[in-house]
Amino acid sequence: MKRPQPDPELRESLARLVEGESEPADEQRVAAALRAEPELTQALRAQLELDALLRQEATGLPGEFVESVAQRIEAVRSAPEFSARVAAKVSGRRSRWRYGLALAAMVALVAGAAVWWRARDPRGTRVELAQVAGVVSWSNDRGAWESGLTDGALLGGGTLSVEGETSSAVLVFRDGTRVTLTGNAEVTFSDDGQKRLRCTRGTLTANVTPQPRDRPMLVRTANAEIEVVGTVFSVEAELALTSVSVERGAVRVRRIDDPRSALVAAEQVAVVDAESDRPITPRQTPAARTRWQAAFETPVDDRWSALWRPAEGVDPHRVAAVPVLVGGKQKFLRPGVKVYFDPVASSGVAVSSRTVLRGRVRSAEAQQLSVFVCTNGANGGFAGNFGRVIALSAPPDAAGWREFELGLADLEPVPVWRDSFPRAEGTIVRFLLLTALEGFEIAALEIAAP
Amino acid sequence: MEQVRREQAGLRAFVRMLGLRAEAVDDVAQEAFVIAYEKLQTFERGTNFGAWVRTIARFLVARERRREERRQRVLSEPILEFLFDPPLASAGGEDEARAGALRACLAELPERSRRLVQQRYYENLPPAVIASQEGRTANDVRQALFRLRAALHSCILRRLDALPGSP
Repeated sequence: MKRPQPDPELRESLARLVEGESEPADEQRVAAALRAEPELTQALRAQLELDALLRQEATGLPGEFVESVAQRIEAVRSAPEFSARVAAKVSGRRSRWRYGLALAAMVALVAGAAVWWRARDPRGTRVELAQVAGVVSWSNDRGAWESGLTDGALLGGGTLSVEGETSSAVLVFRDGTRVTLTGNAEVTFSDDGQKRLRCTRGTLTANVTPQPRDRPMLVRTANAEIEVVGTVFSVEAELALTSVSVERGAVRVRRIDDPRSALVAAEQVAVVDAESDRPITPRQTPAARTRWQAAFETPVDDRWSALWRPAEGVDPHRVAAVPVLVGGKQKFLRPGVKVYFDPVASSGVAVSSRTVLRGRVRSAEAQQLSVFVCTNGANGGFAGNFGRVIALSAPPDAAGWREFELGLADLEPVPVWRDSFPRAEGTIVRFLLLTALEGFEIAALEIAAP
Repeated sequence: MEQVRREQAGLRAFVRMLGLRAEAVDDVAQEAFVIAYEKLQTFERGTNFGAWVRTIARFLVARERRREERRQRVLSEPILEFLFDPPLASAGGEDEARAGALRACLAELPERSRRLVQQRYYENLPPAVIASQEGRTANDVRQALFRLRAALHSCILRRLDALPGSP
């Protein structure tokens, strides 16, 4: 575009006009200049085109547009006055069969265009997969299904399953919005100018670029809806609870079927409980604990995947491993014990250079124990997955219990996250998973920094 | 009516370009298609359907301007005469290419300019609000946006010219 070099007053008038802030005097000045300088017409036209293109890019195209046109045309077509008008014109100028054929073709084309739009979604959803760990599969409501997806896969709208507690994947939208899924997660997503995600299980952490104000990104869980304009936040959709932690910016959260909403600001957390209708009350994100322990004196709650067993004879209170889905190159079930840390009570357990995980474990034979942690940053954003396999080599006591200890800062990053999150030190453990090849019991677990 | 699919993005951009407020754009664009359907027998086959439907849209926008007394961003008729007479030819299937080129050009912008685009278009902040946030004058911001759009336009043309099959 050839840049005009008008006088300062005209330049200001032009700029105000393109911004939609012009006064009548501006428009008179611009109209006079357009008459005198044909080049200015091209420059102004280019400015307005760019302004429109940028606005369209920011707000996106509604996928329903073609369908809405089809419906409106159908309404017009079926109106009696329209039929009468058409009949009069047809009888006057064209043969009835020819016009009818044109009408039928038109309606068919409109319907076809609507179907085509929905099926192909040409400017709609397209996301790229990144940092895939474990088994990730995708399906849509038209019967398409793909499994074993790897980095770089391009996906249309559908459902992505990250299968296994140790699996993870990142969805990268065209505008740079990144949604990280961890912990056996499943999310249904679409983007027809407005991003809509439904997280049915697992944890979703999103780094959202600024979204059009009238088309915020919407994240739904079984019991909550989160509205996002642009921010970094985490959603944990597990059991009957949805917890939302905001690292930067703010999100609006409401319970499904309840119009009341709450604004969750940076460094706050809100929990939506399906079994309660109390207003959502955001709270300051609690500080991470430096110490956590479990002696299993009472039955474990829903945040555990484990079978509680009360003390019996010489055996103490304990939990037994239950089948847990884990993902490597293939997904498989392993005996495991998993615990999520309550996001309201604390944001998790902080990992320092001295933090250790200790426990008492019993199994029929000496075996290896796989330790896996999923971590967050201080205010909720994903901070990497780490793990290590240790040998339970200490001699057992008379009842078969062995003790183990492991420095959490020594955990290895899961390979796909090695570059982004190389060290566990400085993170906060959000969930802990212990697995082994054979069944096992745990009588005590502790994370502490001595 | 394959034309609806082909032309809808361009038509929406055109209506928006005429300055209609954002919430009315889709309604006017859809109405333009409906009227085109009603008057299909007057459309001369072989001519530009996109230009025809844009002419209809232009009349609808003018009607909107007359209908609403309150100030809104619709360009005055003298300026419209210069800018859109004759009506712009339809960009047709080039919409996707232009949008793709725009995205690539946005990605090339320096951080400061990208931030300005985000504030103005994605966060929909008026120049005066951006100015107060950035410690500048509103006129500075408007001029910066003017230069930014000019640069983006040049970048888009350059990229479109470089596409295979371009003349």
